[in-house]
Amino acid sequence: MAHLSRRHFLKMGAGLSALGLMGFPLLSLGAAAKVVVIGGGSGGATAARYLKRYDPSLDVTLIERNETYCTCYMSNEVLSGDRTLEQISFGYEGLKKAGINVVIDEVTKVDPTAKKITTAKGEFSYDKLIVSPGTDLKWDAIEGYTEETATEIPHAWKAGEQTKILRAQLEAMNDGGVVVITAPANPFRCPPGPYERASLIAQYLKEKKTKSKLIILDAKPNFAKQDLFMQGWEKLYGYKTDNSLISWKGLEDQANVTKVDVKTRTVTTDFGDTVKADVLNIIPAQKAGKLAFDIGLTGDSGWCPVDFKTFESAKHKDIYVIGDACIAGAMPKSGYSANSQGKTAAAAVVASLRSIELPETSHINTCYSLVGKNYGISVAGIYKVGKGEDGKDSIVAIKDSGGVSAKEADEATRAAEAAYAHGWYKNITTEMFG
Amino acid sequence: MKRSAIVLSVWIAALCTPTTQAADNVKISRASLLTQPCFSCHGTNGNSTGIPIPSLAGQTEAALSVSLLAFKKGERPATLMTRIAKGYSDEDLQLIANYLATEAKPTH
Repeated sequence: MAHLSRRHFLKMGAGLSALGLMGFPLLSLGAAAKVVVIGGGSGGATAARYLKRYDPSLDVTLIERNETYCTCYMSNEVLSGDRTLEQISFGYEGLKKAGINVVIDEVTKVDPTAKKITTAKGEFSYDKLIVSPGTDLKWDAIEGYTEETATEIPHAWKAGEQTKILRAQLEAMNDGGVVVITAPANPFRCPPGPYERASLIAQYLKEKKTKSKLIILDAKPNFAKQDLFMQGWEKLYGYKTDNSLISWKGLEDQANVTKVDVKTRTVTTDFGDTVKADVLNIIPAQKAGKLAFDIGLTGDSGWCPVDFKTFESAKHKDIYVIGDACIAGAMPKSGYSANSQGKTAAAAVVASLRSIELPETSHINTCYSLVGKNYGISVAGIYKVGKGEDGKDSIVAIKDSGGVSAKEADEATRAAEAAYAHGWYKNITTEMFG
Repeated sequence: MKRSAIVLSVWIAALCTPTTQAADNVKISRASLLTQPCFSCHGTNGNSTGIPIPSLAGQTEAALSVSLLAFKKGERPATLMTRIAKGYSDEDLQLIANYLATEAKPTH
């Protein structure tokens, strides 16, 4: 080193540069690949974190329109009064600290050919784009229910202001009032969600408004974890007795709601039956978030077809779609699924940038539901890429694994699952936003 | 000459950092893909702050392997892990145990 001449120094430098460039053709020095993530919910926040985890040198930008994100999961505890809205709200400081360029802005256009994103305030280019657009509500699904009327008749299926409205209405309701929840047909975000909501509202009624009742009107003949929910309702809310706090009517009871009169809070089923509510919570059918339609990522079903291994869009190269908006075979639309898919999409993006083959992928979903205080139940699935029932590629649940909590479980087990639900919430939100 | 040497070493360090760092951090493997969904319940890189869910970070491969196989066979009772572990081959569970023991470091 001491005898190194200037000329030698330059030669050595040139040699090293050439080696660097040859060794890493796609991530050349000083020109890190640009990956943009749109949507800072469960899928997008996870994907951004895992892009950095798998390759800290990547230039990762997360574009999200809101300063804070409210998780849908645990929002039912806001309705029961067990948790505040602030306790389910998260900012993006943690992602910034992880080296992610967080941009709070509205995406107005994505050009998949030019690989350019236009926002209200700027423009971004990308080598790879991960989109986690979430769901939008089908406002035309129930006659009379519009975006404007949602301030009077909340859906509360996107947590935040809507959750507050529903909570305030429950608090303002007279003892003896009737709460009606309408649940949509499959597929929709968080399949056990409406029934956890019914459970936790019933818990609130049992504590504060003992003369009140809750009715679920369902567009389905059955629902997720039905036996376990009903068992819990029998135990906690007098289900199947004359004094039951909860009643459930499914498709076979002609309970598919098709029309609402906003002024009188009265719903009509497709058989013409009417039910008048004091607090009405309409959970409408859903489709992929608007951005997915704008970019042209959706298929005929209103959801986004993807490669089941990598989550790359079947419609546009170098765009990956994760979370509720994508068609992920047997995986339910849940925060856990979105989180699992975000990790895989991040690995797939990094593998593609490095021109290496992505190994066989693996997913988990676990959905805890709270039926009451110290009473939790769960469903779990382990998934891999395989052939679906129709013989086509899909994401399939691995046979003889997963499933729901044991029906014969004792009180201690239910209490343990409620505690695990809270532990899970703390850990998954810390992993995404912490 | 001394100054050149310092400049050179700083320059080489700068040149090498992005690639070295990246190479050190890329852990895309069958084991990483198998293990990453575990962290949604068990905390960031296996470090749980969500009581009462246990951390996976800081456990030995042998302990993890014994637990996972016992969950799978139903020999160790659990609310959920008995259902989860059945979704993996013994070889996959071994890969997970090895990955956790070597890659999931305790942070607290």
